[in-house]
Amino acid sequence: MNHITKNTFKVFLILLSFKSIAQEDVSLLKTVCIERFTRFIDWPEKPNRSSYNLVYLGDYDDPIKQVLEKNFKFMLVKNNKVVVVHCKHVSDLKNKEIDILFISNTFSDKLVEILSYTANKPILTIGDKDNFGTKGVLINFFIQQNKLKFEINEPAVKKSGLNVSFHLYKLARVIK
Amino acid sequence: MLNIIKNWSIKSKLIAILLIVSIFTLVFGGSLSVYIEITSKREEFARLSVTQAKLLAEYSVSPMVFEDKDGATEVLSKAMSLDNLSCVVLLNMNGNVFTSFNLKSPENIIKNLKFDYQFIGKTLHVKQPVIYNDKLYGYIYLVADTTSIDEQLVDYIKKTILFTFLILLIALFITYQLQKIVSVPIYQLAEITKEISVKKDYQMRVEKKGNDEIGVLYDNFNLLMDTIQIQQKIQNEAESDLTEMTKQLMKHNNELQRFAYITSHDLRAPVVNLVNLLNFIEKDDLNEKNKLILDKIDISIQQLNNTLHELIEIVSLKKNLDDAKEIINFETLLHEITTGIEKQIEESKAEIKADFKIKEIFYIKSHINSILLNLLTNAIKYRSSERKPTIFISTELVNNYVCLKVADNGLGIDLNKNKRNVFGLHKRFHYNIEGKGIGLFILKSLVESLDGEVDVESEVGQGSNFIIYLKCEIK
Repeated sequence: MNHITKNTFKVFLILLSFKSIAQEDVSLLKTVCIERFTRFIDWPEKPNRSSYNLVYLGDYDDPIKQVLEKNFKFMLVKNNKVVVVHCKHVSDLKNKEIDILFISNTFSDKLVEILSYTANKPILTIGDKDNFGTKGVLINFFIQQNKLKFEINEPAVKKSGLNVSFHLYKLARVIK
Repeated sequence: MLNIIKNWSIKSKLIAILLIVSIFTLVFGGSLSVYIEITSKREEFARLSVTQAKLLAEYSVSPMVFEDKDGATEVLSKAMSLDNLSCVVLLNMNGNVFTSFNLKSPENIIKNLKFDYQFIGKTLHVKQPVIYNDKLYGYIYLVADTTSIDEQLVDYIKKTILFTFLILLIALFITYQLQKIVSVPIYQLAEITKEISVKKDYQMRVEKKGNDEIGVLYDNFNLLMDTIQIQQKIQNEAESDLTEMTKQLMKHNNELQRFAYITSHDLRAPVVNLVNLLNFIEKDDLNEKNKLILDKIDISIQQLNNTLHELIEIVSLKKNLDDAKEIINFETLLHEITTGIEKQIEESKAEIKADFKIKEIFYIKSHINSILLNLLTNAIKYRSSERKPTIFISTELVNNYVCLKVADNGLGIDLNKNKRNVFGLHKRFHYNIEGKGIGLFILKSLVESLDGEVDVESEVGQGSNFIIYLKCEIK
């Protein structure tokens, strides 16, 4: 946490009381947030791109999997449709074209391996567990004072080749 | 306005003209300056506010994208630390309030601003879109209080008026000093002209101080004075010659008068002797031839005697010119004259009427006496046999002249033939009546010798009206 720069003005605040909101709503909130993140992120140009690939790495019964699949049927990224792919194993990532990789919190012990697949590639990695950010995930959700927040690992972003707008940084807890 | 100014002195005119121009220029310039200041201050204020709104819109992008009211409110609250902002609002794409700071009522938001900004009363309303990647997320709307710039402008206007007034005072001082360049030479020229006209000193000149139009005026004035001086010299010489000539003429005239006087008086005694001696001649002792010759001698001597009398009268008239004037009462004088010719009046049965509106005058009595006597005796002498002679004598004031009129109903004179000769020497119009033809000549001479005039109105068979204009004082 010593590496975390805390700027109150740049903290993303979403009023959210976990005591009163169902888990499914949190998953929906995260899904919407992922879509909004993409508005501030530019991927390198890709010829003949017609869709963005969102890979969910996690268990089958994780509620967010359903929400992602359901909502990204209707939501676009950069005016392109989103193909949601489910991977149960890290090895499944091999040889896959990935634009966005959502890493479930159940994969914390395999994070190093996962990141070895995504390192220095324009893949937006999104984590859902404390410490994921510091370990190299580009954007990581966390809960603070009953509010859903996110952090951005700036060095990892730079290595990835993705272009992340300062607007997004303003709302995030930035890991230097 | 021009009628008032035209009687002012050149100095006042110059000051007035320069001040009017200065006031006009300063008021116009000051007004323009105030207008420019007001416009530029408001535009600058508007630009600053628009810039603030754009910055706020930029900061509001992510809160609007994530629909983060808390984040947006925090952004707005930070903006409120800026000067002059009275309220800041974030509107969603539909124009509804997303979040606001210090907004008292949504009605304070103007839905359709004419431009990016609009001044409404003492506030400035600014609306800027919140756009990211060409996608509209909402609007930032801020209301700024213009009281501070209004105060600055009032202060500026006060200072402008004060400076305008000070500049006007300076302009008045400078104008007063500079107008002397034009007014002083003209004033000096007017003064020296006045001095010349009072002192009649045509040797005076003005000293030229420049080559402008006033310098030319000075040159021309000096040239004019040179001409006047030359003319004056010529006139003085002419007057001197005239005086000398007058002296000579007077001398000759006196000699002529003395000659006429001596001649007339020296001749008078021998003529009287001749008349007396002629009376001693016994006509009965003479033959017819000598009687005839004697009659002719008698006639010649009578003519000589008459001519001598006339000469004496004329000489006497010239001498009397220097007689002293005195107060003459017309009533008294008429009485004296009618008494003297009482016998003639009785014989002619003439009626004399008088109306003296001017009762008394200051004049030479012998002249008036001679004039009246002459006209009265003429009126009686040349009366009409067909009617009773009536003579009307009157006086009145006409154009500063005392007008003496003697009107009769006598034979009258044919003025169409004799108008020019009425007052001539030896002019007679009724040869059947005894007369020498010198009376009216003497009358005219008497009147004109004291700057008077004579006139006559007459109609044959109706009568005559002699009008004498006397130049004299009325008592």
